[in-house]
Amino acid sequence: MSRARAEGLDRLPAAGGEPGADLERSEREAALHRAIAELPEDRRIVVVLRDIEGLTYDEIAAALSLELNTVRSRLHRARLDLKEKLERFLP
Amino acid sequence: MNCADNRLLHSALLDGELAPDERAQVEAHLATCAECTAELAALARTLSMIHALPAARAPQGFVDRVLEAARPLPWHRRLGRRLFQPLRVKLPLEAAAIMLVALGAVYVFQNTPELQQAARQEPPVSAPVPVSPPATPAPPAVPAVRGTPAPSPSAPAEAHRTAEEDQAGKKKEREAALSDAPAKAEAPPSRPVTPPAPRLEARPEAKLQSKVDARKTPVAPEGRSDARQAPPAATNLMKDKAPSQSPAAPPAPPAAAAPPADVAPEAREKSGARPQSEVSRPIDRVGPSESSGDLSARARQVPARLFVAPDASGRLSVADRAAADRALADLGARLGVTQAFRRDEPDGALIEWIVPREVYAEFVRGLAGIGRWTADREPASPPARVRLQVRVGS
Repeated sequence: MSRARAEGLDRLPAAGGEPGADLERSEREAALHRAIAELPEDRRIVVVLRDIEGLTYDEIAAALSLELNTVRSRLHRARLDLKEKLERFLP
Repeated sequence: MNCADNRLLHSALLDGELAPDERAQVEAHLATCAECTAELAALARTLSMIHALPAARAPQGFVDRVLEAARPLPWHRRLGRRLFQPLRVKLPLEAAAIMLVALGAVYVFQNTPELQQAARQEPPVSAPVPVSPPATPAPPAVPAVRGTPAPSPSAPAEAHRTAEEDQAGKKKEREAALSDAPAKAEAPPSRPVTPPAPRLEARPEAKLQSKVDARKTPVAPEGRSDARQAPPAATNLMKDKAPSQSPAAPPAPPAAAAPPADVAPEAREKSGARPQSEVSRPIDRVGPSESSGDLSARARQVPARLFVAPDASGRLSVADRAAADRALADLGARLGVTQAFRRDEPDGALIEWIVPREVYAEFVRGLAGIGRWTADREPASPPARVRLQVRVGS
């Protein structure tokens, strides 16, 4: 319930903003959410920990009991996946 | 460093997670390779887009669930939470359920006689214990046994006294006699000292008393019927009962008194087994209708005549009472049926016939021809002379 409501509220147009730009932004965010959700589990978790939660590589490696290089390569592959899926939204 | 190796490190480069030497190598390659530079720019835009995402909010209760999974609560607190947790919902529900079960238990208890009996079984076990010892010893039986050979001096006096009192006093005396009766029955074997002659007398008396008790009808015909079997006891009994009978029921018509005496031996066999409620019902019917007259005299007159319940009874609804009376008289004359008793009341007449068994069915058919006949009681196997009591009303 809460997550759905949070998304819904976030997609409400901000006061004074351009309606077209707001629509595009919310569309982009929805696509990004979907793209992250579609990632394989091992890649998704490193992306979330790094790009959303803001952990460092070392912290991620410690949390997931992984080698630093493994974290690095998984994160890079995950980002390439996202870039591919979000290509049309990129400027 | 080729392009593929270089691009593998782009993410780390953007995150600032490269060691200084790696970073120098990557930047050196980027300076020479336009494709890798464009690739890095695209990745940077993707990253900026991801970073622009508002921080995700965990769903409500997520932290609690994570903590619970990490450190489970002790079982009793989990059980308590599961039983009562939404306190406002579960507590009223549970109270209602308890009430429902309690009401159900009470309902089942009230509708199951076996259960009530099982619950009541405790007191009777303890109650008879103090009562029984005084009942078994011989002393109470002694006056009774001795009294029977010579009851004439005391018994008539007692009977006279009851004749002046009302029925309540009589009832009390009957109960006293009743309590003596079992003692008398037990007395002969327990006291071999008593002479044989009184013992013989005591026995029928006791038997009679217990019969009287069973029917609660101290009627004269009873005594007469026993007179055939045990003359000495019966004479005593006649002395005992006759005084109470003669002053008690002077207004009773002779026709009413005589026929029941003949019928009694047969009627007794049947009515002895009848429940008390049926026997006493005629009194209830007669009692309120009589507004005047000596109360005590009436009280004794009624049981003397009616305590022996009729063999058959019913109600006859007629349109015209006078015409019905004539038709009934004709019917009786035709079939040779004698009218034993009649009482006229404002709302009808109570008539009793002595009907010979051979014409009983025809007589009832005749009744049905006169008016609307409703049989209250039918004899299973009619005696030689059927006492038929009919309430004629409109």
